[in-house]
Amino acid sequence: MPKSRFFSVLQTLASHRVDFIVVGGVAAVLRGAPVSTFDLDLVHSTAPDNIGRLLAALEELDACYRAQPARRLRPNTTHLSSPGHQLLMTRLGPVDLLGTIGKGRSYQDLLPHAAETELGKGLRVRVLDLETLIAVKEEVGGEKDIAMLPVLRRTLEESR
Amino acid sequence: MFPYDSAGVDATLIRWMLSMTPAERLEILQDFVDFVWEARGKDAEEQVLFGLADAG
Repeated sequence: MPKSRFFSVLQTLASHRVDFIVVGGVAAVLRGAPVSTFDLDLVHSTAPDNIGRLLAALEELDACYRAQPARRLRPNTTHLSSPGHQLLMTRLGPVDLLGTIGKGRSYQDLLPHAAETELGKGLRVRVLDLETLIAVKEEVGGEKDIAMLPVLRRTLEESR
Repeated sequence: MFPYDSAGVDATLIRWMLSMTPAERLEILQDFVDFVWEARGKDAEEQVLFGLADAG
């Protein structure tokens, strides 16, 4: 079972010039919130040329759907072009590719709220800001999302 | 001094995280994940990874 290697997954995607935004728990950590997570949540651009680059990166990462690991089902262009969530296992750990988050927020919608962030070794990735992370979690309203809100709100306050 | 606010959030942890660069924060998270894998053992990995819910 592969362990999470957040930096290496991001580096692989960047090397294939994939357009994506880091969201979810890893984005919260990168923005300074003391939370934990085991998977990497990304919202990707569904533009056709980006899907092509994403598929090449996923091949390098040996990505398969993690719901039925024995079948080793791989995501295709149709899956990745949809607004749905593709929950994958890669050789560098779990990665969730999200067509949209919250109430239908796409890569294009999130782009103005995702500044590039330096992660070392020349790697720069777009990370969703705390304000939008909070708004998305409020929209989703799941127990896990609601539970994280006090920490995110306080982190936003402290970072101002 | 009690470090938690009314929502139970420890602001000292937040200030500690905010004192770091994003790269250092990612390293902290990576160290945490590595520690959990080592502490819980191989059997737990499948439970954790395949029990992951949707996020975003």
